[in-house]
Amino acid sequence: MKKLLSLVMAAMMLFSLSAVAMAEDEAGFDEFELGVEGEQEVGFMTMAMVYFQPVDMAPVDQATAKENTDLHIEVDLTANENGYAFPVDQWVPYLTIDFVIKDTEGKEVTSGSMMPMAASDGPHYGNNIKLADGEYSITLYIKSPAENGYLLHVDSETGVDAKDGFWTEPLEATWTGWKFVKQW
Amino acid sequence: MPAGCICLFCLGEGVLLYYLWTVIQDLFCTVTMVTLMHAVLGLLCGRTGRRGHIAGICTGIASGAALAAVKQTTKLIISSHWNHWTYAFLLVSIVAFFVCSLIRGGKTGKTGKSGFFLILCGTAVSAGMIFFRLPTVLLYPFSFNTMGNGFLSAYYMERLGGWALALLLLFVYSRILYGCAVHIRKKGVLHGILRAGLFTYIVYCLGRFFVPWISRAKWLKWPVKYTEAEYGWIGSFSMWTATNAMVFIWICAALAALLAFLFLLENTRVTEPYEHAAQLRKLKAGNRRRRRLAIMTLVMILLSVLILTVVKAYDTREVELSAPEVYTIEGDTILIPSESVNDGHLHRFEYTTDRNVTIRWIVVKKPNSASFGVGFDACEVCGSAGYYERGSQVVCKRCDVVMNINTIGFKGGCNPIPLAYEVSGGNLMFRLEDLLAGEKEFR
Repeated sequence: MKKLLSLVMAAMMLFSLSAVAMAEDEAGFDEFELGVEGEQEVGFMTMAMVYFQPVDMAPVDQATAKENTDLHIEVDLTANENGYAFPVDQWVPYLTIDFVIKDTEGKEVTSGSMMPMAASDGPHYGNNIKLADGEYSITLYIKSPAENGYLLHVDSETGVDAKDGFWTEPLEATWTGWKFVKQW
Repeated sequence: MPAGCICLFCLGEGVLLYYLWTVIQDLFCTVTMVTLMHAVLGLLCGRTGRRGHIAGICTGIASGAALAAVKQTTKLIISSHWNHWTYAFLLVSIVAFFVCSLIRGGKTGKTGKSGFFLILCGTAVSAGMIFFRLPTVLLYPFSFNTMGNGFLSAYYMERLGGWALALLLLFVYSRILYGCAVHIRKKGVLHGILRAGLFTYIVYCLGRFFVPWISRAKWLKWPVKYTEAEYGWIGSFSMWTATNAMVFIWICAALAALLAFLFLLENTRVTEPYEHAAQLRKLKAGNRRRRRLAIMTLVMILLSVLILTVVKAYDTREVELSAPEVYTIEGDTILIPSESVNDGHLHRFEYTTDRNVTIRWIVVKKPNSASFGVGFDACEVCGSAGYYERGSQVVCKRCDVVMNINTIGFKGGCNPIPLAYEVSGGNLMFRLEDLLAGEKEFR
């Protein structure tokens, strides 16, 4: 009986170690869709939001360090046909994207800014944030590149189509029904 | 290191407490269940049961440590996948344990086939619980040493101290809970409490098992897709287990306290027969020892509950920003008398624009200097969360980073966004247009 038990324990150890050895060799994280809306048209852009476990970012900042946050949120956006000469189906730079996360009662839980950054799949806006498990909605406020000093040619010969310049009020987009549970 | 960010992260307050309550929160249920399982398997299957369970505990610790090492050094581990299948393993093994314990009943003595399977399932439950929780706790010390602080720094030692103290408290708790469990005369109470605890754990695991499904995780290739309309009740149940995880800890603590309390009641008076006074004294002394054990167990449970309530609430309390102070406006210039802000404390001011946006800025006299640290009450990273004063420090409300007051006024990192000012005629002078340039930070 004791030998049999010892054999079973050894088998469990071997199983666990081999399971670790056989672990996926892909990147060590899984992306989750944020909210029920999926992709949305926001102004001249198509946007979708995802989240996953917090990531190391450089330059390092204590506030957004992986160890001090609960998840990484990202907005993947591409330009559609537009009058600002941003290439279609490409990332739009120089935006300022603020976010506000609210709970199901509409109370603000946290807010901040999505920073421009690059990952192996290309540039996007994102950030590591602290958030407790719960159901939330997230609203993005997209301010124009003009706030970051991006100019447009508006002359008749070389100017862009949008002669009035960029939008002045922030574009808004909301994703709802976001059931966030920390799974890592 | 970003300019101005000392990143001491509340040196001297809160950090030790954070890891103290976090580790206890992570491990309390696991330690309780594993301890009670050890007592039950020892009771029903004697030395074979205890040895088999110890082997299982060692398996869980070794596997958990191996997983922690692989997580820390490679990107092979997708935590959400591992957690999901660990919940599945726990569900299966707990159900199997229930079945085996029903078959075994209260039989003690010879292990036999029923005993063997009971030990196997009980051991699998304990190993699974340890394997699930241990990696997170083992990896905490690797997250202490951030921003260039060395292993022997006060920064690192405080965090390590909180972590180690929690493990010590849990170890002591486990030892004295085990003492109550093995000496309680009503063994049915012990079985019942273990089963109740495991049933609670099943409910929790079931809720967490469905989380990847309700999150529409791409890797979980189940044929049935989650929709709110059809399966909203499963979504609600999963979310409830996630947002009310503390309920399961309170149930576990209550069950352990019940065991200790019943053990205490069992030893209030002598019920065994005795032949003479010396024997009676011996029996009374035994009762006293067991009562002390029960009381110590209750004290440890109460201490854990206090740490998870009072200490946690104190450590995670919301900080109120101080009220704004008065100033005068002359034309397009805001004037603040220097003497009202040269005391070394943090002073906050507000201006409301025509668009009803309230712009805040802060002023603090720099130590050992005639100059002032001036900036918007916002930074590029945390936005308009604001800064507050804690002792002699200026701290960001959102991320709790301690500012270097001498670099307030410089751009970058965690520093308040700079705001231009002049000192003239005994006043700090701010141009309205400079203030309005910061309006976008507060919209």
